[in-house]
Formats: sequence, structure tokens, C-alpha cells
Amino acid sequence: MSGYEFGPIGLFLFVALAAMRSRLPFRWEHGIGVYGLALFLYGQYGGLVIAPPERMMGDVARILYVHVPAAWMTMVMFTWAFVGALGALLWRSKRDWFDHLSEAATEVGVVLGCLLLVLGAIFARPTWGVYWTWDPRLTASAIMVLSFVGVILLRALVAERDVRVLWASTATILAFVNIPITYMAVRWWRSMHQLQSSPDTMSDLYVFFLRVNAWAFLALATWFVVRRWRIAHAQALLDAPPELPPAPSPAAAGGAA
Amino acid sequence: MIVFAQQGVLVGGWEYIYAAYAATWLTLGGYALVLAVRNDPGARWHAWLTRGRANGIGVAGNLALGIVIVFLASNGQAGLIGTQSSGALFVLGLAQIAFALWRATTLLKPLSSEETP
Repeated sequence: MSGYEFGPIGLFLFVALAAMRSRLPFRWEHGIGVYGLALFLYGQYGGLVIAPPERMMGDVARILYVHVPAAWMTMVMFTWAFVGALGALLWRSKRDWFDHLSEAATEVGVVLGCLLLVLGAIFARPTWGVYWTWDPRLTASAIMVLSFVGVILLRALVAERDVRVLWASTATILAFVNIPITYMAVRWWRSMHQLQSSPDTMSDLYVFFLRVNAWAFLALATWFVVRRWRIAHAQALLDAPPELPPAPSPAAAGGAA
Repeated sequence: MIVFAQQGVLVGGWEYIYAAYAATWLTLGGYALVLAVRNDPGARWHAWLTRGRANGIGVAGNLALGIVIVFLASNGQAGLIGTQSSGALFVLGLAQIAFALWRATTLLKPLSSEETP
């Protein structure tokens, strides 16, 4: 077993636990969380201890094992938020389910996005000499995170459910426009940030631990989204107006009189 | 990046690696903890996290503290404080600013449809 199977095994675990969720003595998403944590511990150990220093950057390149997965998963989470927003607008009968997905993925994406910016600043200092520069990729990333912070603020501002879903979904779709721009910024403009690497140009050990950490981040982020989805669902039930007792029919009212 | 490294400008080392991994562990662990508390209505900090006891002064205090810490960290490169400490301080300052922004979301009073223009 080369180790690359960790990802597909996790995916299988995810589907299996979701399928048998009613028979489990614990919430099914905790299985994903435990799997993600185990993978995360292994990936972090590999990045810090097992992987060799990079030829140019030396040990500092070890930051890539957390910086790159954080960047990937930030974009994945915002993509999930985009899918949730589209579903909430287009699929009326499943509107709340999709809206909760969008709400959860937006918050997890913002958490990972803030981590991404911090890790980028820490990585930039020893390699570029500065914590921050107004580089196209960095600026686009900051705008990406701030625009989704705006979506969270918008959700907090609007009390009425129908209006909130409409506004938040629209804002999410608009904010998502920046995702491909952020991804392509290093190719479209002259950027200090390096281009996307290919596994063909990296040693197997680098690729291996990068993938282990990426799968770990994906599993943990999925766990976070499901947990956050449950909070959104519970909040929606609390906020829902109480059901009124059925009004008496005219015939029944007449009979009583 | 490669040009800098080839010219020997690459500075620092393990302190940045430790700061990056610590920031990752604190962020992921902290968020997992927050979700656990928010999912458990009986938890001690549940009300504080879900209702929000933030006020304007508290948010402004967090924001000001974050900006001051980032400023101090930036000046650390000029010898005010050690280079090793400045990286950790910078992260702490950014975390303060992020915390202030998050707390600010609890300050917003939801608008009803009558108030919405």
C-alpha cells in the first residue's frame, strides 16, 4: 500500500457512515472527524519530521504542507457555499437544506481563509522578506475572504427568513466570482507568488505528504460543515413561528352556536 | 521566491515553521471546540457564543489591541523586539483582529421586513 489510498478510503468511509447513520451509536460525522484527525496527525508529523528540506528554501518549505491544503480547502468550501446558494434559489422544496449548507460552508471557508492569510504572511516573511505585499494573488485572496465575511454579516443583518435566503444566496454567488480569479491570478498577472506546481516536478515524498494533509483538511472541513449545518438547522427550528391551532370550520362554529 | 533564496536573502527558519503549524493547530482545534460548545446547549459557554455578549467597546478594544500588536510586530524587524517574537506577535495580532470582526457580527441587530427599505 503506497499510502495514496488514504484519500479514497476516507471517501468510502464517508459514504458508508452516511448510509448507515441511523444505526450508529454516535453522529455519523464524528467518524469523518476521527478519520480526519488521524490523517492530520500523520500528515503534520510527516511535514515536520519525515519530509526532507527543500533545495532552495530549506526547512521553511515545510510550511507548504499546511499553507497549500488551507488554500485548496478554502476554495472548496466557498464552492460548496456557491452550490448551496444555487440550490437554495433554484430548488424550492430543499431550500432550507441548501441554505444551511451555504451558511455552514461560508463560515468554515472564512475560518480556513483567515488561516490561509496568516500562513501566507508567515511564509512570505522568510522567503520574500515581508509579511505582506500587494501582490495580485495575495490581494485577490484577501478580497475573497473579506467578501465572504460580508456574506456572514449580511446573514446576521436580515431577520426575515425568505429575504435572508434571497440576499445571502445572491451575495454568495457574487462573491464566488472571485474564486477563479484568485486561482488564476498567478497566471494572468505578474505575481511574486509561484505558479501552481505539478506533481511531475516534485519528489514523491513531497507530493505524498501534501496529499495526506490535503485529505486531512478535507475530512476535517467536512466534519466542521456538517456540525455547523446542524447548528443552522437547530437555529432555524427555534426561529420558526409557532404553528397555530387549526381554525374551526364555519359548520362547526355554527353548530356550537 | 527562488531568486531571494538563491541570493541568500532567505531569513529565519524554524521559528516561522513553528508559528505556522501552531497557528494551524490553534485555528482548527479552536474552531472544533467552538462548534462543540455551540452544538451543546448545556455547555457553560454556549449562551456567550450563541447569543453574543459583545458590546461596541469590547469589539473596539479587540480591534485596537490587534492593530497595536501587528504594529509592534512590524517594528520588531527594526530591533524593537526580537525577530523570533515578531512572527508570533504578528499572528497574535491578526488573530485579535479576526476575533474582533467575528464579535462584531453579534452586534448587528437583525432588521425585520418592516425596517428593511
